[in-house]
Amino acid sequence: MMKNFLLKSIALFLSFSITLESIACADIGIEYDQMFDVKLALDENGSINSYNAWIYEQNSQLSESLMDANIESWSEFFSGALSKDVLKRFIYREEITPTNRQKEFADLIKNKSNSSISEENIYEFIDYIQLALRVEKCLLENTPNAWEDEPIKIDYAKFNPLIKQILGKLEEIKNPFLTERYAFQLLKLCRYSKQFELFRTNYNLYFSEKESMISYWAMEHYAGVLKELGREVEANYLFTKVYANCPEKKESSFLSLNISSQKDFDKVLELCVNNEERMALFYIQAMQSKALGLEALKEIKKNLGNHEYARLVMTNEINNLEQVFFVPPGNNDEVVDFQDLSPEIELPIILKMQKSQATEYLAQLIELNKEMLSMDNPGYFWHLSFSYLLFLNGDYDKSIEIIQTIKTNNKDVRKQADMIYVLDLLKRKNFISKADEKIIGEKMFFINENIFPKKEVGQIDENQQEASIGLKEYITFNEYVFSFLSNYYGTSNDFLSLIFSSGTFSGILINTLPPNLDLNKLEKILNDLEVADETLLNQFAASRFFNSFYYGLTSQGNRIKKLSFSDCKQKLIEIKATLYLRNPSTVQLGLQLLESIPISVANEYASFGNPFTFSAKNIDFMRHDEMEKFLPKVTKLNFARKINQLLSQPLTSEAAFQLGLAYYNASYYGLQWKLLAYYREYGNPNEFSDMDVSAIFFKKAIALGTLNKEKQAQAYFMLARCEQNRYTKNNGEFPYNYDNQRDFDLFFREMKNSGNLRYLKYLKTNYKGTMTYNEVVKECKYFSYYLN
Amino acid sequence: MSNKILLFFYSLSILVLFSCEEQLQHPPTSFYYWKQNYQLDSVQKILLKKVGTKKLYLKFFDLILDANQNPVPISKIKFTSKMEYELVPCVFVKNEVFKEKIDLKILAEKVNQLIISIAKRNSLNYREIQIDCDWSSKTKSQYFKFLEHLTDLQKEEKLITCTIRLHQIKYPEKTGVPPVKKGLLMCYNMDDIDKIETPNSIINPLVLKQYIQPESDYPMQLDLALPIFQWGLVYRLGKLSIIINDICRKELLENKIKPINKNYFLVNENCYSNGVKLFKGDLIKLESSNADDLIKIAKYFKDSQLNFHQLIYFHISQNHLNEYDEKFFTEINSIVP
Repeated sequence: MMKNFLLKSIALFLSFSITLESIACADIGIEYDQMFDVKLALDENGSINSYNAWIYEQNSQLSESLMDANIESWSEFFSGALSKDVLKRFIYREEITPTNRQKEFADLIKNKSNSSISEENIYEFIDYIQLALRVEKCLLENTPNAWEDEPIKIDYAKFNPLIKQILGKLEEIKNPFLTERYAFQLLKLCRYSKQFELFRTNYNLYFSEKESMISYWAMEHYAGVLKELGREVEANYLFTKVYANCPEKKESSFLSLNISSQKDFDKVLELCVNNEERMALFYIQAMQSKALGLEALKEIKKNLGNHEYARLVMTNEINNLEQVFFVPPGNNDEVVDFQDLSPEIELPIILKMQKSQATEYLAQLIELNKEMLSMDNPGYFWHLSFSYLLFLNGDYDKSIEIIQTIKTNNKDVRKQADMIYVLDLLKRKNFISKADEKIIGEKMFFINENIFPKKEVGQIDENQQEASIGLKEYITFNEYVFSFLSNYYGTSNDFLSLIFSSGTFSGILINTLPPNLDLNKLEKILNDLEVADETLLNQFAASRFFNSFYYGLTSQGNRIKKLSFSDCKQKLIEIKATLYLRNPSTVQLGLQLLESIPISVANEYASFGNPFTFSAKNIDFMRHDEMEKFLPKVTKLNFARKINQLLSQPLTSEAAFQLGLAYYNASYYGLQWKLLAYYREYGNPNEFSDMDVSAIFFKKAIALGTLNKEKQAQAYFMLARCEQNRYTKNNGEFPYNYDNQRDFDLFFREMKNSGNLRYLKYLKTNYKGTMTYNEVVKECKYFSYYLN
Repeated sequence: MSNKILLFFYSLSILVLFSCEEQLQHPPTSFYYWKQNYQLDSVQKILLKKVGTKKLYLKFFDLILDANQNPVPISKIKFTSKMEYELVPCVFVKNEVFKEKIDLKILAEKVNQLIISIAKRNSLNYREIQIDCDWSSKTKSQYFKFLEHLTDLQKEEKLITCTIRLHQIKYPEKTGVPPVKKGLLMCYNMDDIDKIETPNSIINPLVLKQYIQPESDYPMQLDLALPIFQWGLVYRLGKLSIIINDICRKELLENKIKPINKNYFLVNENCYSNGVKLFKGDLIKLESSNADDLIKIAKYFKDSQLNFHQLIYFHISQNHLNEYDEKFFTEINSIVP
């Protein structure tokens, strides 16, 4: 689940790659998650006590606890003489075929931690595990194969000798611990061989009235037997009892309980012997998918007060209502927005009723929550839930009042309180004052701090994945706040619109800049930056926007690095300079801009290899990236200086040839594309893919007449490349499926027929025998194909 | 009127008559049986007899992904009464099955073998297998390969057919055309079930018009499946929460659920209905495939290029068949081209 979430998060942030046009409306899809932190409902140590299919659906913690509890009990049996690791390896072995008794004994003795271990106990343990393995094997062999239709025929010849053996053993042994274990194995065999009477007799003999861990495991099997016999009420009661009393079996008993009528529910309730069981039943019912938990919540409150059951049910209810009353940005389609109901709607009464269920339900929850305030714990759960319910009800002032009564240094509580406070502030007024901005800014920095443990960029380990669970609500919260503020500020200031959009700077860069971001738009953003107030809130938005894809995951450490507007301005100027460099007539302006910003920013994007050199080799981007460390680094600033120098002098053949090479190599088609772009889209020429710029220089180089024959051949070959790139840009890439040569032939022929191979023809006619010609024949598959 | 004109009208009337004659030649009406336990009650048997049904389409099993993302059959059919009709085994495959990288040849073999084994154990013969999957552009390649493998396994002895949904017939270039000789157009579940204001998500002639144009065509022979079922859609806190299958107005009223109008009901207090827990304030929309809409749809098809071979009604495995009689089916069958 954690990995999935992380991947989802990455996808989420990639989805923020929006164009400037869409910034104003900020209407992008975000992955909604609840904003009320479920962790707050758990006990103070944060442990999971109450399984439910809502939060912990795929959490393995509970199923692992079954194994841990079993190992713990065996560890007690040996008074700690065998370590838990040794026991775990011994019991939960992959191979279920029993092995040699003496060898097993030798292995265990070798691993014992002190000498007081009883050899007899070890042999008993080995014998029991060997039998348990044979039981598992028998059950496995009698498990129906889903792909077979025949109902499984119970192989009594396998079951009964084992049953007989266990019955015999049970007569022999005196140790109550081992008696329970053998009896448990016996019950499993009876259940799956459908010898229910034998099951019942032995269950009553060995487990009736018992409260040990194994007795509850056995009880769950008994519930299964009763269910199979059609005794649903008794089965459901036993599942409830197991849920209430056996931590390791909470998941399976929760999922097994199934009540389909009020009569049955009442009967199960009647069978419950104490409050714990009764409340477990109410809790399980309340936490069923899509259920409303108020009825159960009232019962739990009455009987158990501020219990984890009550807190979890309330959290679940808040989550249900949040999706009704709180419209997260981008999820408008999925919620009924009652405020906007058009009077023309065909079924106004029905829709009104639909609304009233939610409003009445919210009012009832508020009423109940109010009564819980007096019994709140130091975690302030009921204060937080109360203020959030009030927020959902539109009672913002009252919600703030409750938040202000929360006095704690617990960061999780504070963050949740601050989130509700910020939401209240945003919603309660029609304007955001300077004082509000300051408060919201402070709280946004606080809420978003330390959401990842300290790690370097790109290193996402298990701990971070753990931490990312708690991150989800912050993402929804941040996106909501930004969407709200984006609408609030409107489009009058493009810089503010940009930083309050749901996008990120990285997202902007992976879009094709023009037309999404051209010089005019950049100019406007930079001008608006100058007049925007550098409030704490704006600083937060700017810092978040101009940091990396991942919240807080910066090279500087574990929190969003605070950026000033000046820092942001330099990043934008760097983009502007890059756009200027793409046009030879504005290179000087681009260079001036790059020289005006700190060298670290100007040189942030660099490439490798010399862009001013000719190569006939086919372009291989992947190999180039692999070889990067062996190649000279070329920064954008150096590149700009060299281009500017060549352009500043009277143009010679050699200078024009070098400029042609530089513009080609720094284009979409060249290995140094990173000098004039930020993102290269595979198979779809984006960013700087205009072949005219380099072609003009190659033509000038030839026309100026001082190139030697080899360089002339090179210039013609480069012109042929430009021509081919133009053609494929307009007509699609070459079909690379060489299994189907016919498609390639056809494409090449069409290109030739459309007059797009004239420079190759010129090369073939006039430069045969040159070194360049020979090299091109060897290196360029297209030229070689053309010749043949 | 000249002889030539008379001759023209005469020829035209012959042509029209001939066409009408062709349209009426659907095979005897068939039904789907979609429950896990095959056992017909007396009402179902009487209806089948009255409409002269010779063939039933039975769901043999569902194919889903298990927790380890392996395809696994569930809800395999059990026969507790004798099958007295020609049988078409149907397999519902969840689209997600084809999102996984799986050996499609082995999957086809397993599916085929399980069908053979169920049929053999119950002494059943069949000539066709129908696969029901709402494939998408992402899964079409895998799904189509699976169909090809399944077809290969039949060695031309049995026909593989598959269901085709309305969006697939509207955008064949996007969704692809499955590699089978015959398809079945599913003409139900056509509107947005999530919205409480949707008039009828099961069947709506106006919605059908968004998918089927008079010039609509499909490059394979088609059967047509029409709905005869009802359900209660439970809306809770503004969202569709539960579907109560095979429930009628009377049953809701018996549970003291208050009618608001013909189709909408309000739950006044927490209760259970058909095994489903309902909560105060829940709204239930009762939807059914009414005869008027079915006739409108049949007429609409008549005006299109589409022609259908077998007509199959979804589904016979329900408790509310009393409102359908022989006349109902005869009328619809006579209109559908």
